[in-house]
Parts: sequence; structure tokens; C-alpha cells
Amino acid sequence: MLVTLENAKKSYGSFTLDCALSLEEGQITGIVGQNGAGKSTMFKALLGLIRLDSGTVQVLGSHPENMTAQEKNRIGAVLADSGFSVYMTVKQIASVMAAAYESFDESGFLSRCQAFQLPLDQKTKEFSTGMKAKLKVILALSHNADLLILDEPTAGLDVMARDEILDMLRDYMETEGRGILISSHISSDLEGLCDDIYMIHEGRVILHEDTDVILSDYGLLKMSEEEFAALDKTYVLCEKKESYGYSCLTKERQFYQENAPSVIVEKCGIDQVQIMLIGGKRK
Amino acid sequence: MKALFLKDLYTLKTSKALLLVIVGVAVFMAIWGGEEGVSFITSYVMVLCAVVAVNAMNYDEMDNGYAFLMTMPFSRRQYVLEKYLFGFAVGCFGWILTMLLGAVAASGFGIRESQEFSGIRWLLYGGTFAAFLVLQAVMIPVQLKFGGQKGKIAMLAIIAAGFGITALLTKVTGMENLAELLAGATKTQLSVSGFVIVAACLIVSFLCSVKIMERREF
Repeated sequence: MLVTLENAKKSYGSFTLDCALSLEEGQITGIVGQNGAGKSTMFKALLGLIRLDSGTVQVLGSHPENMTAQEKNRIGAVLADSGFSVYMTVKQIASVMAAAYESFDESGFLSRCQAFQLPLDQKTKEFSTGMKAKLKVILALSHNADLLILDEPTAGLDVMARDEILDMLRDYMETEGRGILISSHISSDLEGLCDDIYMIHEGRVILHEDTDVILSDYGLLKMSEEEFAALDKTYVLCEKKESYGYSCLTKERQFYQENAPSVIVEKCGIDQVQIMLIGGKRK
Repeated sequence: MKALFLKDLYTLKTSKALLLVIVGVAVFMAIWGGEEGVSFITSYVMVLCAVVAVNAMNYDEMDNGYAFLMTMPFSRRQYVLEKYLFGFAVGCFGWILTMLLGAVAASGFGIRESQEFSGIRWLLYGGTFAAFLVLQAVMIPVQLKFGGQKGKIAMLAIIAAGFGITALLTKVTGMENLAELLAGATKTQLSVSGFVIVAACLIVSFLCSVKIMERREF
């Protein structure tokens, strides 16, 4: 197991993170949630940047606070609101990384930067948001890490750049024994990349499901009030009052397609599941 | 730690203009300042070296940089150690510069040193380097604990407290007693006691800094 978080609790005033999570080798796990849901707090706990109030956390078999330099060498991180000093150029950053990481591929890193049109001799202070985001991801991918912890790595990127980054992440996973923990607000990125998804709301995991299952089995039911009253709600996870009647989230889309012909049954993705679980009334 | 050193050198380059001004003023004072100029250069350069060294931490803190830095393959203890070593290196550079300028001023511009000054030159150079190290010992943990803006306010408070304590001590013990003590001590006694005091300050400072850094959350 690359990462385990068990009964992890961390309080900040009125907010409390209370969750569990695991990441196995060969897996890409996505984390979704609203702003302030606790995704970054969770990532910071895994990276040893904050201390949990209770619970256990293991990353690559060690507690993050006790990790040796060799163990930290095996982790590549992208943080949403932090990076290298903006007063350094890409070339300077490359030389610092080469001195810090045993397996840093300096020439590969510089080639990737050039491929992404990142100027090598310009201070990153002058980079756009998208350029900074690309640089962070390329850095994380350039030292042969076994584990990537990526907090909103594609934020600020255009669709072409996101596509290229996601392809790099897929290529990265071709080597055995690796894993990625990634958070994003762009659900289409996660749907095409992740094996499973954790949905976090107000510090708690409200859903953990395989991505394939969400896309194939979950569905959105739309119906009038009369149809809702008559509906078999055995497989309804949550319901939401709408202007036209009711909408419901189900994990058994096939069942309702066969047994409730008058009800509109739609496929749904991560976004719709999230909207229903957070905005709807749970059974 | 090599990576951290390199990073600090690169960010030091951004203070190029400030460093040139420091060197420029020091050279000016070496040429035209006379004996007082040499004293001025020594303290001026060393104080500014202390500021420049601690400034490296401000760059780390900017834009929440600490968070990413702490994911890199070194411990918080190593980070703190590098700050002291970097500060020491910057101080050594400044110290060598002041001694070179002092030597150039004496030989190149025929500045005649009084016998009194020649006698205490070693005390001036050694004392300012020791003061630099003590300044680092105070500034580094303050900067780590309070950060950039709050750290400056905290430093002013500490300096004010330092002056207050010194004034109180001289009043209590009497300035004449202290001067007599120093005049009566040999070079070896002064050097050894100075070394012990500075070493103790640095050790206590380092241990505090490590504790502060290990407790910090980012």
C-alpha cells in the first residue's frame, strides 16, 4: 500500500477533517470536493506539512514526519498554492532539483519545459498561471517518483495542456509499483484518468467508488411529483426537489431503466453525483 | 543541503543591487574614511550581511513557498542547519571583505593608524564577527517563528529589550567595572570567553530554531 489514512482527524476552528483513504500500487485515485471540503488538508497531512489531531497516516510505509530523505525522494508533489521561489529561472530550478533529488532527469526536465514552451531563462515570477501549473507538474514527474500527490495540478490549464499533462500521467503509470493521488475540480479529467474516486464534503468522505461503476451504474432519475410518490426507492441514494418534480441519484440505473419506464433515467458523471450527494436529501 | 545552498545563492543574486551598494559604500569609506572609516566599514558590512543572510528566509516564505520546500528530500533540521551555515558563509565573505578593505586602506592610501587603533584592531574585527554571529543567533529563530513582517517587529522589540538590559546591567555593575575587566583581560582570555559565549548562543539558537521548525505547520 502506498498511502493509508485511517480515522484521520484534524480540526481548524469549526472545520474538522475526519476521513480515511488508501492508495494501492498501480492505482490512480481521485479526490473531489467543493472548495474548503478538506482536500488540501488531507494532502498536507500525507506530506507531513500538518500534524493530525488523531488517526494514523502512512506514506510509503512511514509516518510523513519520520520520513528520511531517501523516502521523500520517492514522492513527487504538486500543491495548489505553493511552489518554487518565483525569483528563480527554470534552469536555476533544474539545478536545485538535480542537487536535491537522486534521480532527477535534468535534460528530460528541460526538454519537457521547452516542449511546453516554458522559457528557461525567465524568472517564474513572470509566468502565467498556466505556465506555473505546467512547471509544477513537470517538476513532479522528473525525478522518478513512486508516488505522486497532486493537488489540483491542472488548474489554470487550457484543454490542450490538460490533455498533454494527463497523457504524461498515464505514461508515468506504465511503470509498475507507482501510484497517483490527484484532486481536481475538472471531473472530466478524473473520469478519464482515475481508477477510483473519493468525494469529500465538509471534511468527511461521502462517497468512495470505482470510476467505472460511477460512469456505468450510477444514474440520475428525473420525474414528476406523482411519479416520485409511486417510485420504488430501494435503490435511491438521495433525492432533490426540482421545479419539475424530483430528481434522484441511484446506483442501479439499469433497474430503473427496466422497471420505471415513465421516469427519465440519465447517465451521470462525477459532477452530477457530487451535486446530488451534497445538494440532495440523503436516504 | 547542497540544493538549499544553491537555492539561497540564486535568491541572493536578486539582491545584486543591494550588495553592490554595500560594497560601494564600504570601498568609499575605505578610501576616504580614515581610521573611523575602517571601524565603520567593519560594523556596517557585518550588520548588512546578517540582514542579507536572514533575507534568504523571506524568499523561502514568499507565496507560501515553505509548503513546497518541506516536501523536498531533506529534514526540517537540515533546513535550519543550512540557514546557519549560509549565514556563516555570508558573514565570512563580509568579514574577509572588511579586512581586505582595511588592509587596502592602510597600505594603499597611507592611512596612518594610531597605536591605539593598531592595538585594538583584532578586537574590532573579532568582536564584529562575534557580534554578527550573535545577531544571526537571535534573528534566525525570530524569523522562523514569526515570519517576514511580524519578524521585523519582533526583532525591533528584541533589540530594544537588548539595549534596555545592557543599560540596566551597566548601571547595576557600573561601566567602569566592565571597562576595567576588559582592560585587565589578556587577548587569550577575551578570545576564549568570546568564543564560548558565541558558541553557547549559537547552540541554544539552533536548538530553538529546530524546535520551532519541527512544530510549524504549513
